[in-house]
Order: sequence, then C-alpha cells, then structure tokens
Amino acid sequence: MKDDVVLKVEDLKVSFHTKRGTGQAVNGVSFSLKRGETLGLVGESGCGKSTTAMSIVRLLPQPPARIDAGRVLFDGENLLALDEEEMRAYRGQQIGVIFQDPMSSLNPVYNISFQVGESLHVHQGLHGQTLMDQVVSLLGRLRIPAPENRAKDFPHQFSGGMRQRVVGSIAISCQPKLIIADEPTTALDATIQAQYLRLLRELQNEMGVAILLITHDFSVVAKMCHRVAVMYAGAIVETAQVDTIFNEPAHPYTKALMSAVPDIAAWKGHLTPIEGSPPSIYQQIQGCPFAPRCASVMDRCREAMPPVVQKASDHDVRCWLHVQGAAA
Amino acid sequence: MISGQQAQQVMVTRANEDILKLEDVVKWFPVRKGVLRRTVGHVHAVDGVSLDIKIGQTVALVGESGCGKTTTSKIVLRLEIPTRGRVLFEGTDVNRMSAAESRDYRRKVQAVFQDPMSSLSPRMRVGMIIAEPMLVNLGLPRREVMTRVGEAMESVGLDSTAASMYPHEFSGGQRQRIAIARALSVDPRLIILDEPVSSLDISIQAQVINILKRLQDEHQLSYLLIAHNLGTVRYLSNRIAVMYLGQIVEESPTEEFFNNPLHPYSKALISAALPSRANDGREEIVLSGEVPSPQNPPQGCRFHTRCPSAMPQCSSVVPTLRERAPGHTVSCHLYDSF
Repeated sequence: MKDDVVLKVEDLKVSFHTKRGTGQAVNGVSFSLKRGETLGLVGESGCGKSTTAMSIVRLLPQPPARIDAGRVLFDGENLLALDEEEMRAYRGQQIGVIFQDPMSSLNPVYNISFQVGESLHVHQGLHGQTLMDQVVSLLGRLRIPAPENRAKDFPHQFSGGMRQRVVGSIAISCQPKLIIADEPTTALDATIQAQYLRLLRELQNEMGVAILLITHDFSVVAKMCHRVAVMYAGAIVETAQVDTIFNEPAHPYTKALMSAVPDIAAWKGHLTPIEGSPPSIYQQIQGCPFAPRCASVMDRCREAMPPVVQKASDHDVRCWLHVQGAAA
Repeated sequence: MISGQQAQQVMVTRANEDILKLEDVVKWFPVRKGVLRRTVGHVHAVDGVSLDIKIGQTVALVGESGCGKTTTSKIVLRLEIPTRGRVLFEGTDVNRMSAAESRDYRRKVQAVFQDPMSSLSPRMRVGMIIAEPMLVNLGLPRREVMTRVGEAMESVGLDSTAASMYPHEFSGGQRQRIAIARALSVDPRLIILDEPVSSLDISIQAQVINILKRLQDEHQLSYLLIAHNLGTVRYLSNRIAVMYLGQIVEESPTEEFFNNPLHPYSKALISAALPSRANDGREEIVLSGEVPSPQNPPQGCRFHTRCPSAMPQCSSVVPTLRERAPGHTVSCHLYDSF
C-alpha cells in the first residue's frame, strides 16, 4: 500500500434505532492510521468512540445499530461492502481486537490454549502439536509465566492482568496488521496497567502493527499514542500529534478537558470543570454539539456545524474559531 | 439535633485535634475449606494500620485492588469489626459505644460510594433519598426536613424543584451530587469517600471534586478518601497513605508525597499515573510481577517480590514505618542508613 496507510475511515455515520427513537451515535467520522502507528480515539462515554471502533470490524448488533454512510478502507478494501463470510477473513486474522474486560471477553468454560489457538486453527489451519507449540510461544511472548504449564488452565485461574495478556495473545495470534484496543487497561490496576502498556508498545515495535486505541485516560494516551483524535457527540473535533494535543490544543473542548482532568504532573492547584453534560445521542443538535458548554461560544456555533479546518499539517480542528473570517 | 453553637464549640476546642484515629487496626478474614468448614488460613486484609485524620482535613488511602483500603473504610463505618486494634472517633472507641453514642456516631460519620446508580434506591424520589437520614437520625418535623432537603440540593448545585424526580432521571454526575447531598443533610463531621468520582466522566469529575472541596471548607468536614486515581487524590487530600497488601508503606503530606516520594511502590504508582512521554525526560517505572495473595503475604517486606530496588535483607527482615522527614513516614530498608 502506498503511504503505508493500513486503515482509512471516511465519513462514517452510524445510528441506533430503538424505542426511544433514532440516535445518531457516529456522525461523519474520518481518520486514517498508518503501519506501526497508534492512534488514540479519546472521549467521554457515549461520544461514539466504541461504536466507531466496532463498526470497523462490523461487530455492532444490527439492528438496533445501522451504518448509514461512509467507507472503512482496510488495505484499500472497503470492509463495509463485504459480506459476512468475506469479513471473517479479516476479523481475528488481519484485525485483532482487545476489549476492556478480559473476564467477559474470554469464555469461562474453555481452557486458555483452546481460546488462543482457535483463530490459528480457523485462519491458518494449524492443529495438533504445531498449534500447541504456537500457542505456548504466543503466551510466552505476552509474558505468561511457565506458558507450557498454564496453557491448559482456565480463565478464572489467571489474575486480571494475565487474563488481559491472554486476550492480547489472541489478538496478535495471526500477525494482524491492525489491533483495535477498546479501553484495554481500564479494568486493570495502576501498576499492572503500566506493565500492559509497555508490553503493547514492545509488540508494536516488533510487529509494526497499527493500533487503534480507545480510551478516556490521558495518561494512557501520553504513554501509547502517536496521534490523537478527540471525539465529542459523535464527531471528531480535533486530530493532531500527541504532543500538539497536550501542548497546543486548539479546540475549546480539548482545552477544557486538559484543565478539567486532575493531572498530577502539571499541578495547577485548582480544577476548571466543564459545566453541563454531554448531549444524549437522541437529542436533535443544531450547530456545534459542544456549543452549550463552550466557553468561547459565538452565535455562529449555534447555527451550523463547523467544518474541519486544517490548522497545521497533521492538525485538524472542527471549530468556528479556526475558520478564517468566521470569528467576528 | 446538634445546635450550631455546639458545633462551633466542638470546632474551637477540637481544632487541630484528631477526629478519627486508627490504632494498629487488623482485620483477618478466615478462609474455610472442606465439609467441616475448618479455618485453613486467613486473608490478611488489613494488617496493622494506624492513621489519624484531623478536623477539616482529608486523608487519602491509595493502593491497588485488594490492598485493604476498602476494608479499612468499612471498619471505620462499623460495617466490619476489627480483629485487633481500635478505632477512636473524637476520642471514643467506636466499637465500645453505648447505644446513644452509636446513634450519634452514625449521624456524624457518613459515606459516599463509587457508583451512585447502585447506592441510590431507584424507587425513591430524590427528595426522600436525601430526607431519609434526617428523618432517621434527627427526628425533625417534616416541614423542616423538606426545607433542609432543598438547601442540601442547592448546596451541591442541584435545582431543589428536582426533589420529586427519581434517580434515573439524573446524569451520573448529578446522581453523585445527590449522594453527597444526602451525606451532608445530617451535618456530619466525617465523610468516607470511596472512589467518589471514578465512575464519572472526565468532564464531570472536576465538577464533583470542586463541590467536595467547597463543602469541606464551608462545613469544616473531614474526609477519608479512598481512591486509586492519584490526580483526584492530589486535588482533594492533605495527607496520603499508600497501602500495599494490608499495610501502610508510606504516609506523607500530599505535596511532599508528590515532590519526594520515598517508597519504591509509591514511585511506581506515580509513574503509572503520569503522562510520561518519550520527550518527557522522566524515567518510566514499570513493576514486574503481580500483587501476591493477601492470604499468604511474602516474608520480610511484602513488596520485595516486585521491588526494583530489593536488597538481600528485604526478603527476611520486616521494615517498620519510620519518619524520614517531618510528618513523612516510610516503611522501607532503603532508608535504614539515614
């Protein structure tokens, strides 16, 4: 592939159709991800970050969800146009997924070796001793101690951090080009989280895999990501290199988040909260969804959704403040 | 009901005094096995914890899951009886209180828990949720109670007309404010905050943290804060106690703790919470291994199995908490020679 672009999402729109009505969960999301790169998709609960990620691997229950528009180009192939059978060749093989809670993403009634070996068996046809050797080596790579003895254990015999490492070994088992990690360390303790993130970084360096990391935790972003996309109410409001996001955030929401998060490194002595709360996906929104909570709101913001402005190379902002001639 | 004058008197005479004092508190849970349910061992959930909280101050208990911080808070709330040791509230042993003293204690010590969705009854109107502790503890006339409900709601930034709504009609941050209003309604002296903001969205956490800080100043409240997020802890607490496997390994004034952490475990916790980037200049500390079982804690220093600076004596000699700077104690052999 030219430019080494592994994943390109274009104008993705996803809605949920429930008894409460139609909810626009993802409203025109676009981003791309290169080989060996980690993109952080950051936002609060309900902002559409998980829905975006699950649309890529088409793991959203449809209905109630419906992908209304957009393209998901993986290695140039539009995943949204594939049928279910063709999609299976991507899921688990080309794209690995790590979910938040390892206790619910591992099956309690199958042993670890079965679960780690399943996709190797399905996608690469391994079996018998070859499969077992491969499973043991995978577990070893994820630093499971004494993997040859532990492979026959069941998930409940593992600690939380080890379970999440097992999930990681499943995700990398078929040498994927992309790993989608949805809050991979949120269920883990602080020191175990640090271990897991370091391991993910090492694997990424070895394999050159691209990682789409979904998180709400800025310390995870700082440790893992090369680039960051900040989401609010179903739209990406700012995309930039990680340093830019931390040092020169341009969107008022990103700025507000930075001053609302109690950061132990940059001690400010006080917190500036963002008043109000994010809109529900069922709410009809006129203009910029952040306008009701924005400190720099203008009349224009309440009338129309701002376009995406390229502020610098690799720094996109969706805000009227940055549209030439709009701020008056 | 306690009059304002009385409360003021307490404040004047007791200023700078401990409101809560834990003396070598131990809680072991028996592990039973077999048909005869024989005790085969004990989980050393809390193993010799001593802690003081002064009036108007916040002490934070920090540590990973299973370190005993929640058990400690349950002991303070009298939801668990300590195996050994004493808990003194305003000088009285809370487990040897008379019925009248106990009633008073239950009014003066309140709690706010992590998840407001499970700590608030879904079938009660918010006004009633906030009124209940007052009706039970203060025996006030109903009209007075309803006035106070309105005041409590407004003091946490909620509209008092929302008293007739149910918890599910509120957002997560608003629900946590309801829980705070309820705790506040009976004019408590000490509030146990068990992960008060960790279930809330990042943009909402700051709102609740600021409310907690303002209320503390207004009412001279003392907080025992249980939290794993060091950012929250830095903003709310005056002192920090780090727990590992049932024991306090370091205790320090908050600023001193962040500027000069001594225990290797504290350093690792801080490193894990920092946004340390490649260009950040700080070395990232990543611990190896996992937290050992509290049923069978390691010999010597309990942290030695994961400690990056472990020395030979660490696996055999138990370190004791010693003061290394004013008010800053640490339990680690690295500082033995100082």
